[in-house]
Amino acid sequence: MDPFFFGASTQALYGVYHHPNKQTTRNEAILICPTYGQEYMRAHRANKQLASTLAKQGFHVLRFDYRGTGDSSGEIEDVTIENWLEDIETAIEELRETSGTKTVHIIGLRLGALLASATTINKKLNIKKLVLWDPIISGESYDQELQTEINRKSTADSKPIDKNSTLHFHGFPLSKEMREDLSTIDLCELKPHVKKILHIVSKESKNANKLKTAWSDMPAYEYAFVKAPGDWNFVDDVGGIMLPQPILHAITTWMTA
Amino acid sequence: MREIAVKIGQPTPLAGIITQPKNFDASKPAVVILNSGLMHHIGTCRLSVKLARQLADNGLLSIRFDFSGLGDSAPRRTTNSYRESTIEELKEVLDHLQKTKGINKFICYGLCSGAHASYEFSLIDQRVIAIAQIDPYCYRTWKWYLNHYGPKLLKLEVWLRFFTRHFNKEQKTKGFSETIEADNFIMPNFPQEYPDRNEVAKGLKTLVDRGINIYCIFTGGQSEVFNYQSQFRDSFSEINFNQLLTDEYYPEMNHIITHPDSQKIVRDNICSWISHITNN
Repeated sequence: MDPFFFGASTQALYGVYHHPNKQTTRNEAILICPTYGQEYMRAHRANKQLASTLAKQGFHVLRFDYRGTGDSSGEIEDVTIENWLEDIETAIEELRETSGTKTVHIIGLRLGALLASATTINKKLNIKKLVLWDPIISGESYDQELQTEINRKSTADSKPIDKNSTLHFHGFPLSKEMREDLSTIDLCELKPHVKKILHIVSKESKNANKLKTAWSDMPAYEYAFVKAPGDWNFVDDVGGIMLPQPILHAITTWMTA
Repeated sequence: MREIAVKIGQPTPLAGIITQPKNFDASKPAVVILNSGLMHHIGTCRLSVKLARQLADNGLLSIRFDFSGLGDSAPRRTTNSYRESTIEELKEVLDHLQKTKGINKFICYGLCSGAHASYEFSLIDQRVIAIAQIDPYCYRTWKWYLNHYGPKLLKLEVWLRFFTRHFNKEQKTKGFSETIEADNFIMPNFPQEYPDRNEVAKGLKTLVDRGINIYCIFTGGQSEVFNYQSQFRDSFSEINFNQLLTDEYYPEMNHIITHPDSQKIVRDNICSWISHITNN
């Protein structure tokens, strides 16, 4: 595991590169696109474990943080969704350079799945496999989901939307501009340019079915329901994390098949 | 300001980020930012990242890193207890900064388990000149009991609930953590049992005798053990802290400090406290 900064120095991104196991090395690399907010905190360990397992299977793996999140440069108040889409492209480029391979796959969790899909409509990126893990299917549904959750658990600490239309969710803001930008992205209307897609969910839902219906004609598309904890929005008082082992196992199996 | 990703120690290094101010001065203390529970080194709601950058703006170098097995650090094979490992690994981190940056004085900062580790480590490493802790060890006093139970005893519904439960043997509803598989959901499970009060009193006395500055922030999220401003001093009333202790209580803050205003209070207060104790 090598932590490092990459990209332009003024927009440096933090990443962790997992070296492939020398015995089983493949000429393939995987980029993991994280989600955002408390979900990102809760999923960090799962992403690390997934990266380590895939590296043991011979993949070059890169985890990274978008601008204004994690250890990457900038503050969330100053970044846009466009920046995050650029960051994914920068990370793909970095991974190709570091690994020396042209074959790159992407795994995106929740918001990361939405952003990864939006990135892969660019044919030139030449992404082979795309895994959408409990994906947010549209910016609009994400916004609604967060607001419902805030209203459900409304406390004195909750100030859902401030005077600038920034949505605050458990200490992580989404600016008006980000919300507007996200509202233009709808997975059902996207056609990612990839060879294979795995849409994997930990619980069946109306949104999951909507995407399944919209993409069912795509030959590249596969859907899998793997029962596992997927309550990403739950936040406890002590910073507990989620490690949905059945999903991690299913993704690894699909990637190595 | 420059941020540098580092790997410290062998054969299984610890991952960390050094935030170095523009005008770095090795004679100033460095701030060592510790993990809180299972959260990785960015801290709750990115508090550690923002604190590190604000410290750099104030001319101080800091490091935020992950103990082995947490965040971006791989687990180490060891028979050490969690407490022993944290102390050993903290020593490695300070040695690294001393060797590579020439820094000899350190301030340890942490929230919850990070606060406990900063206290434990400061007892044994003379390079630590101050500790900043959020929700550190604290003990209930008679006034805590009065604040906690007093208002409840005056409420009729509390008595009704007590009798209902007592006579009807009301079934307890399962909580969230009891309803899902333990393998998939991890709560911080470090040995968080508080040490004996007298042991901590003895430790604090040692720190005061050494002239270690202590900054404590208590949040409303720790109301099960802390519920009024001067409780820390009351629970260690035999210790004369002189001017070495700064203690603050924010009942409106939750334990993982999610509110942006609360985060700003924490960052600003830590920076001004450091500035005060170092006459910066």
